[in-house]
Amino acid sequence: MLFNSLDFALFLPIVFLLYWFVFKNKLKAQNALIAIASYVFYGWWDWRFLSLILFSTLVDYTIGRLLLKENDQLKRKVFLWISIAVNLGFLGFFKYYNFFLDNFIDAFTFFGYSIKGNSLNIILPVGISFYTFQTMSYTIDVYRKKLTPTTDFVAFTAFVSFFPQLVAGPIERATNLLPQFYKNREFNYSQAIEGMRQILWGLFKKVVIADNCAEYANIIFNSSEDLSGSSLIIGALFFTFQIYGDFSGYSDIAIGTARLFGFNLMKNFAFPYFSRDIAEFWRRWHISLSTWFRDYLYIPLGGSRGGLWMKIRNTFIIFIVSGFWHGANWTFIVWGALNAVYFLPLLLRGNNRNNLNVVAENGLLPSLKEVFQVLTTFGLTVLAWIFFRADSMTHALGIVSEIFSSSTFSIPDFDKRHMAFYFMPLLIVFVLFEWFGRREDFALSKIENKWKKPIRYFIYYSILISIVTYAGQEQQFIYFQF
Amino acid sequence: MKRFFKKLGWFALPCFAIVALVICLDFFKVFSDYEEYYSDDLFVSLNREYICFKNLEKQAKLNKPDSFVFGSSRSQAFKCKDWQGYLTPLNRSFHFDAGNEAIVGVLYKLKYLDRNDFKINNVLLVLDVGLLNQTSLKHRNYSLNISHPEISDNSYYDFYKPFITASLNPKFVFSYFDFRTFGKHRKYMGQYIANTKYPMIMDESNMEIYYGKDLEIENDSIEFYKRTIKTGIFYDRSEKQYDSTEVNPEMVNQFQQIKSFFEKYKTSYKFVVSPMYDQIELNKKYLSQLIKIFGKDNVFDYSGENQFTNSLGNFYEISHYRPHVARQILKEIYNN
Repeated sequence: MLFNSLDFALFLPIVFLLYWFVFKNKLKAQNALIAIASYVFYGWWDWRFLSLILFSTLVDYTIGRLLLKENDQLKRKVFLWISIAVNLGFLGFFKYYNFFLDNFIDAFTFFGYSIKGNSLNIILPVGISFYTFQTMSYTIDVYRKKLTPTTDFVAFTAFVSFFPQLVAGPIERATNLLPQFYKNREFNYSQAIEGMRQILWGLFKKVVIADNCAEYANIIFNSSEDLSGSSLIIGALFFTFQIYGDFSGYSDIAIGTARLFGFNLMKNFAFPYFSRDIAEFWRRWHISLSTWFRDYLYIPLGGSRGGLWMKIRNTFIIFIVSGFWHGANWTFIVWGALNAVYFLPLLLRGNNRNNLNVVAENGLLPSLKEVFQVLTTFGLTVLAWIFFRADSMTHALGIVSEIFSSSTFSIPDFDKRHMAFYFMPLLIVFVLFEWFGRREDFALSKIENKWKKPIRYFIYYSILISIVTYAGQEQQFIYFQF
Repeated sequence: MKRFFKKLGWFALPCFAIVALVICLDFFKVFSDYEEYYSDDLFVSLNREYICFKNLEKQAKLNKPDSFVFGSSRSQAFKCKDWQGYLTPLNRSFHFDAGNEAIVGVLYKLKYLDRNDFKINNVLLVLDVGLLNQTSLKHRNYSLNISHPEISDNSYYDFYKPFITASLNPKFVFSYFDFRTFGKHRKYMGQYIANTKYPMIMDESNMEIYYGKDLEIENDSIEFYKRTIKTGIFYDRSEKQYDSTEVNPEMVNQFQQIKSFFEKYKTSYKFVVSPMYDQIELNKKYLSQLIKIFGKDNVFDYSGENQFTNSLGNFYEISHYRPHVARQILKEIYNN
């Protein structure tokens, strides 16, 4: 079920009413309702893959229980590896099987050996990368004795499958989300209103910003061979806003929805395009995944504690794995590696924690230096997104080489160019909203402290009208595929 | 909680009022039944399949049709009046088409006719290369083409959803009331509002449609084609394009189900692959599969480069060919 669908618009109030009225003050029943609703939410897409989530839930629940009873370190390690093998096994099969097979065959062919292997027609279960990482975090934390394993299977099922964040995050830590299933939840008016506002803003980002940018980005990327460098830059810019609107929009809707049920999910985006360096960008982009890799991969590998080569190795590993997490394609790996290249100089010079505050923290406008830093970081990010969006390395390199040619100085010309230019003012308004809201959790957060009621309602209804206007076709969220 | 609902209610009130209003206004004529759908003052596009279905319901009580023309909007070039000449006088023909029709849509219609005790004595099935690979109706999930639950496996909710969304589009609503008030088509209205001094004529008893463009061409064909060419619609076809339609088991299964209906009703049927401006020829493998199932005497492929696709004068624009082409095709397929 998509958040931007009428199905969800009916599903959410039904679950909400059952949750707060029928099962009010009945914690177990509320958790069971969340679990059932989450399975309906997921099964709406394809019920067959519910068995995967259920199996993953059973495995990690059981292993959690076994880890509690077991003191033998070797056995504990074996249990942990069983959990990791099951979760990564699912992920590996559904997501990476064909990639490895094809590359294996290519490698043999390169050395003159011809081997046969049949690619499988595998459907990638929606959100598999998200819920497998979430369940793994539980088992790893239990193994590390940071978390007491749960004895409440219903709560654990609800935690693994919690519908607001099941298919595209934020990837929650068991230490943050699971305890919330043990506590009685009271309806909180302010939290619910803030949640509704965040849902509204998330829908705007997805339906208005991302879906429109997608149209122009697709036109340009799909006909990139015939277009000039200037048109390709515009295509890359549209994709830059598409992916941000799409993914952060999903996160906003997820966090807002969770708030309606009395849950607090972790922040996933913190206005990343206003970052002053790449290190700051990665502290603000897909925070739940970056911190996951930091805690469960980077730090265990030694983090930045070791020598020069260790730092370089670990940085590349974490960025490349992050790229590979996004998809089984060399383009994602290169995207990750490129970000590692951007990040390394900052790390090696100890400048990676220079910008921990918000840009122009105490003022309305940034300084000239900050403008330069933000634009440079943004430019580097846009360049990296080309690899992320391209169909293949050849495609990406073709685009990049055209951008760095003289055709970049020509007037952009692509299909629906005029429509794209008409859309740009809306994009500027969006960026301004994001800028003025950059100190908050999301752009419309705490708006009641900034604007008077008539202006607020004018903003809300304008957003609502633009959502309805642009809600022609329901578009999938990009991150569903990851 | 009470405060939350009160606030939500007040906030949503204008939205609910607007939804109720658009249902009452019923721009697309789907929320109520009408005596006549294509009235003289109609200036918005309706869902063709839905209107066909509603009129077929009416005709079932009056003069039950037993011969059907199926297909996409391109099939509208085939007139029941012309086709009747190849049927017996007792046959009653009806044009039961849908925008962007696919093979599965035809199958749904046959199932509907079967469920509702229609006889299916004759069928003329007109499909296009691009739509022969569609085995679901997902590509038709917007207001103009969405299929009614009585025909397809869509729910009522699936069906009404795009109409409500389309009716809430401010640009459409503004265009609608502007045109209704001032009767003048303005540039911003675009495709939302019909803009022609040659309106189409509809015979709702058999869903025969006569485009105003034919009258326009008749009055001044040179001016019509000069204007159309100027818009760049008739693009250069020197670069040959190929059809990528592949046969898959689901398609074959759907064809076989269609065939079983034909066998059940001892239907006399003809399958026409439309002549299209793009001159993309139907994949040979696909064609042989069609012939294998329906027989070579019943399948007629007019795709690719041929006498019908060569001349601009056979088309209104690149997607729709004219009735004289259909008449010629009928002559060829029935006299063979």
